[in-house]
Formats: sequence, C-alpha cells, structure tokens
Amino acid sequence: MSALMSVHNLSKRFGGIVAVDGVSFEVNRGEILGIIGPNGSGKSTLFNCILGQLKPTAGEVRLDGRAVTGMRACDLSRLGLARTFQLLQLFPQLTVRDNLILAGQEHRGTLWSRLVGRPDAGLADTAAEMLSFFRLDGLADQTAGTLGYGQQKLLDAAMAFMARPRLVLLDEPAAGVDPSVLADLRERLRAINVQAGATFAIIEHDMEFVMSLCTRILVLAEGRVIAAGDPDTVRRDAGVIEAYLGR
Amino acid sequence: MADVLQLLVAGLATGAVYALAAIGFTLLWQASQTINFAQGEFVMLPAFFVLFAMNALGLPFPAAILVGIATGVLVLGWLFKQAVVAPTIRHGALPLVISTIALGLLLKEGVKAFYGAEAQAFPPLGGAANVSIAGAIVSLQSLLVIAIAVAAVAALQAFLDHTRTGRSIQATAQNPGVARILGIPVERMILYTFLINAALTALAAILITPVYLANFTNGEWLGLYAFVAAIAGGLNMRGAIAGGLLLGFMDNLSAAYLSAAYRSALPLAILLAVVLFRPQGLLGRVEEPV
Amino acid sequence: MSATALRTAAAAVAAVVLIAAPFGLTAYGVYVLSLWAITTIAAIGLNLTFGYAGLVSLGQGAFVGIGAYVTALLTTRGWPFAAAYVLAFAACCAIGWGLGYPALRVRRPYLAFITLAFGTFVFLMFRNEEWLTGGMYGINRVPRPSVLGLSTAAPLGCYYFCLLNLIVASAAVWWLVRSPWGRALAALRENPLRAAALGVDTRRYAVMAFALGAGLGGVSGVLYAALLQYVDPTPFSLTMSVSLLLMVVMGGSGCFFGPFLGAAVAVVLPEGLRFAQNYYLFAYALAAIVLMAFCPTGLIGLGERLMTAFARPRAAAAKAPP
Repeated sequence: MSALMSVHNLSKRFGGIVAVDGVSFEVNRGEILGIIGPNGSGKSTLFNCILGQLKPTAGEVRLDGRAVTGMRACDLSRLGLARTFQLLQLFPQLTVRDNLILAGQEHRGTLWSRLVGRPDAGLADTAAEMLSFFRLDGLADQTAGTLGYGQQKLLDAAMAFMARPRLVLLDEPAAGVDPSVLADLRERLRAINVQAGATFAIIEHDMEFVMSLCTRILVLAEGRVIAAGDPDTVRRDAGVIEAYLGR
Repeated sequence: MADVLQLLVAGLATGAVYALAAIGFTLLWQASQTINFAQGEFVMLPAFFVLFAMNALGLPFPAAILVGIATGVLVLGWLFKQAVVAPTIRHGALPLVISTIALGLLLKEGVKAFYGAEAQAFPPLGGAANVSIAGAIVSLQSLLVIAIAVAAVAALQAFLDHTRTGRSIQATAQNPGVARILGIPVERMILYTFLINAALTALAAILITPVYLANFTNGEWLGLYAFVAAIAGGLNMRGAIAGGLLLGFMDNLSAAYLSAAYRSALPLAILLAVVLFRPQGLLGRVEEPV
Repeated sequence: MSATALRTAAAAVAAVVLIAAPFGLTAYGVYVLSLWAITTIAAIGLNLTFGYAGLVSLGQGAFVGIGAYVTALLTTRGWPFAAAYVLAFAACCAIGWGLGYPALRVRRPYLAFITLAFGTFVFLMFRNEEWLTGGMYGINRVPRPSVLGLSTAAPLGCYYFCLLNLIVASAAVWWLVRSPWGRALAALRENPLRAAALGVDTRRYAVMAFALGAGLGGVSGVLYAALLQYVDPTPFSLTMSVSLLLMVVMGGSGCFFGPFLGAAVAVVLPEGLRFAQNYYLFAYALAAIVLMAFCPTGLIGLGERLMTAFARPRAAAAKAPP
C-alpha cells in the first residue's frame, strides 16, 4: 500500500500553547482512517493546518508525494483534497442542487468556460446521482436551509464527494445526527469507499461510529499521536484508556 | 526649530481628536461587531447640539457644552444602540453596515435640512490667545485640546483598567462569548461602549469644531480620518491613539509642505500602505484566518 | 419554472413600456427617464459587488465620475465617443482591480474603507486639478455620439441610447449571475470559508465582481456625460456613492430587479415630490434604516412577504421569518 497523503512532524503553536505537537501519519490509498482523541487534543487544528485554513508552525504535508504544506484551501481542493466542517457549512439560501453543483464546478473547465458555458457547468446529472446516492431524491429544488438537520448533514457529506476527490477529510460527520440517519450515513460512506475506492480520514467522537467504520485508527492526546492501529488494538491500548479517563 | 515645534503642537492637537474618534470606533467594533460608518457624523453632530443650546435656548457656552455632550450620549449612544443597532444586527453584519452608512447620510442631510447648509462659527475653549514656547507661537486652543484629550484618554484607560465595570467591558471587547460564560452582563457592557463612544465623539466635536467651523459635511472627512487612524493602529486602543497622532502629524506636515492634491491622497495612501505592508496595523497582532 | 416565465414576461412588458414611455412625456420627462436608465446601470454594477458578492463599496460614485470625466476629456479633444466608452470601462475595471486586490487580501470590510478614501481622493482631484478637469467649472460642450449613423443629439435619441445600454448591461449581468460565476459569487456572500474549501478562489471572484461593478459604474458615467453634455465635480461626491448603495438595498440587494426599483425610487419619485426636495435624502436614508431593521431584503422582499401574507394569511403567520 502506498501513502496517498503523508503528514510529517506537523506542529502548530498559538502564542505559548502548542495545539499540534510534531504529528506524523500517513493515509493509505483506499483506507478509512479514524482520528480520535479527547476534546482539545488538536484534531480540528490538525485538519485546519493540513487544509490551508491555518498556517502550520512547522512540518510538512505531502499529497501523492507532492509538498502541499501551507497551500490555500481552494488550491488544495482543486488538487483533490475535500473536506467537511465540524459545524454545518452549507449555503442555506441556495437550492440543494446549487449547493452540489457549486461543490464541483470549480474543478472543471476554465474561469472563462464557467462564464460562457452551461449554467449547470454540466454537473446537473452528477448532482442528481449524488442526491439519489445519499437518499435525498426529490429535494433538489428546495433551499438547503429548509432541510432537516440530518438531511443537511447528508448534503454536507454529499458535497464533499461532488468533485470526485482523491481524499476526503470529514470533521465529526456524526455529531448531532440521530441514530437512523447515522446508520444511513455510515452505510453510504462505506459504500462509496468500496464502490469508488474513495479514501477518507475521519475525526469523530462517536466511538461506535468510528470503530465500526474505520479500518485504522489514530489517537491524539495533547497534540501528539499516542497510538495507532486497527480498532481492536486501539481499544485495548492502555495509553488510550488513560488519555480518555485521565490519570 | 520654531516651525517644527508649531507643527508638532498642531499635529498633536488634530491627532488627539482623530484618536478620540478612532478609540470609540475601535471599542464599538470589538465589543459589538458594529462597524460604525456614521462615526464622522457622530463628531459633526454634537457641535450643532451645542450651537442649538446656545442660540435657541440661550444657554451660556459652558452649559451648552454640557447639554451638547449629554444629548450626544443620549442620542448617539443610547438611542443609536436601541433604535438602530439592536433591531438590525439580528439580520447580520451587512444590514447593520448599510444601516450605519444610511445613518451617516441621515444625520448629514438632517443638519442641512433642519439647521442650515452654511458653516457656523464655533467658540474656541481658550479664546484666540497665543502662547510663546521656546520662540514658537502656538495657540492656547491647541494646547487645551491636547490637555483635554490626554486627560480624557487617561480617564478612560483608568476606568477600563481599574474598575470592575471597566474590566468587564474589556473582557466583552476581547471575547463576548467567553465574557458571557464568565457571567458578565454582556448586553449592558455593550451598551456602555456605545455610551463611551458617544461621549468621546461629542468631546472630539467640541475640541475640533472651533478650527474647522460647524458644517454638515464635516463628518465625511472626520469619519475617514477616524477609520484610517483605527485601521492603521491595528484596531486596538493603543493603536488608535498611535494612528490618530500619526495621522495628525502627517496631515499637518503635508498641508505645510505638499500640494493640496497630495494631501487629499493621504488617507488612501496610508490605507493602501497598511493593507499591502502591515495588514495587522501598527500595533496589531497577526490574526489567523479562522 | 413558472417563476422564471413570469419574470421573463415582466421584463418583456417593462421593456415595451420603457420603449413607448417617451411619447407621453415632455422633454424633461424624457431627461428624467434617461437619468433613471443611467443610474440603474451604476446600481446594477454595485448590485454585482454588494448584492451578489456581499462586498461593501463606497466608491461607486467615483467610478461614475471617472467614466464621465474620461468621456468629457477625450471627446472634447476630438477622440471618438466609442474609444472614450471603451477606455472609461477598461480604466474603471483596472482601478477596481488595483484597489480590490490588496484590500480583499486582508479583511472584507477593508474594501469599504479603501473605496471611501478613494472616492474622497477622486472627488478632490476633480475639484482641485484645474489644469485637467476645469475645477469647479467642469468641462462643457461634451458632444453626444452618433450610433450606427443615428444621432443621439435630440433628447429622444439620447434616451434610446441610454435604454439600449441599460438593456445590454442587464442582459450581460443576467447572463453572469445565472452562470457558474453567479453561483460562486453567492457562495462567497453566504459562506466564504466553505466556498474556499470547495475550490472556489474566493479572492479572485470577489475582486472580479468588484472590478466589473466598477466598470459598469464607468459606463454609467460615460452616458451621464453624454446626457448632460457637461461634467463638474459636484455630483460625484460621497453622497452619490451612498445613494447608489442605498438604491441597491432599497430595491432588494442580490435581487436582479432590485436596482431598477431602487433607482426609480431615488431618481423618478423625487420629481413627483418636488415640494419635499430638501427633505428627500433625509427621508430616503430614514427609510433605508427602517428597512434594514425590519426587512433587509428591500422593497422586493417586502412585496414578496406581503404577497404571501395576502395569499395565505394563516400559513404565512405560522412560519413568518423571525
């Protein structure tokens, strides 16, 4: 297995506080990597440093061997690195279809072709497929803000896949989602992993969700990696139990 | 040498007034995310309150000043917060920005329509007397302006640092969310910043209007200078003082040594220099883009 | 779909009315209508900047002024009108780019301050640089152009020329906002963080929206110079920039027909309210403040709200926006 993304010695300091402290890991092609850790262990900061929302203080990120450290979010996206956010980040006044098309339109054609070309950027069919894949059929013309929370969460995930990304980083996809939608989401993510060979890294608090979905798990505490391995190994790791339950 | 001293005093005097307006602007922005585009009109209007108190109510100048400041605090502080900001900020930051821009136009056109478009004389605090310092002739007015502005800023700083309310206001300005968790009555603190802002702009009005006459268009450039001072300073109180003084000096320098055309380009040039070379401002901290 | 059909029909009816309108009007009426068309073009440009991309510009009046002065300076020196037109548009786009690029690198509100400073500077240039602009006296005897062999010297011809420009500008902006660009601009306004994460180069789109909006301001200025046949600094003050911005929000920002309505309220209505001339801007600003507090979607939003309220009083009351 070759690494799709490798993170080497990444650090982020805010003033005197070290939020991420020399984190190194790899995401392999086709896997679902779970990243867990107690609150404040630096998970979201890690994502934000990888994805251009924050500038890392030190360290390196490589995507397919290419150094992408500190690149802008929009350029990373166009290199095939997609993400979702911890809190819902939709365009509430746009329709569901427009939300999806927007998620794909900047990845094809040129600036000029996006002005003179078709209004749907040729993505209406892909958007419809994505809707039925995430079981949101019939909602295309509704404005995103009017959907229920669970449906918004599904749409949020669907948007991440519109541009056929090489790697998707999901930040707490299960947060606040009720159990029935959660089962749907898990099953859809697994299907997209198996059918399309998509690679994910997922930050999540819901242990059940992580343990049942991920093929490998990375545990962060106080900005460092304290354990890595398959779900069973991690579950039994003494350091992990200590990090969660305190000393 | 005498020239330099004269310029120094004049620069300090105008700069101190810009600093007062910039401090108020910064406080509002930090504590309540209100970008007050009517700040210049907030410095223009209280002068007319004072003139109205003198001419229509027949009050003596010192009493009129008190009436002017009190009316300013009431109208531009309390009423502005309750009638304009509170109902609008629910809809987001952009409607409020538009609303303060419209308020600037409203106050300007209101003075023009209801008071008059003619520039009015405004009595100076220290009369027309001059003082000689080290061979330079400087006006007593300038020295008084500097003294009053310094006293006002010192009083404000003491209030913010050494009283419970003041520290609560600072906490609110730094992070309203955390302040709320700490049990600080954030809404009341925000109202206080509006009152402080109005008091600062009313004071600025009384200090600067004798030099430039009371005119309904004064707010346009006063506002611009306050914004530039606040942004160049880095959107914090010390920065606003530094930005105001710097702007006062440069304004007086360019008036003395450069043509009018270059002088009018000063605010634009400073703003462009800030965004190009020091986006966080002179005394600002670098912010993360999240 | 029917909403689109309705809108197209409304636009067609409006176009017919605007073509027929001058025949019932005096020469002054035709002049006011021409001024409305010109103002609408500037407001459409600003709607692109503010309404669609969510950027506050306080310099649109300055771009109108630059368009007007470029036209006056060049055509009175014998340049062809078409060249002045193209140059004015290009100059305003380029200046917009030059101001927007550094400003939008930092914080979005900074664009408002930079355009404010720019507007003040441009106004003082018009007034003070007498060798070029004629100072307070301005520039007289700006010729009106011939378009495709048709003279626009008479009021009617000039009106149709302005109307033609309005139609072309609206069509171009209509095309733009329904293209993927329009979607990217809406994304920029609603959630710039997510937009960037989806690959939208937010700074580039923001700068382009601002530059194009400025360019349309320039076009409006070109027509202004041709309509009035003289230019002086007075109209291009901060008040014009603020009025244009208020027209956009008054009509309905981010709404295609908002600027048309807003410009009508600002330009045509005061003509019917001559007695209130001195208080008009005051009342206009007051109305804008009230609208922002209670209905930030402007008059079009207010109309829509009233229509739903009348159509389904119960249902509307149940889910009226807070």
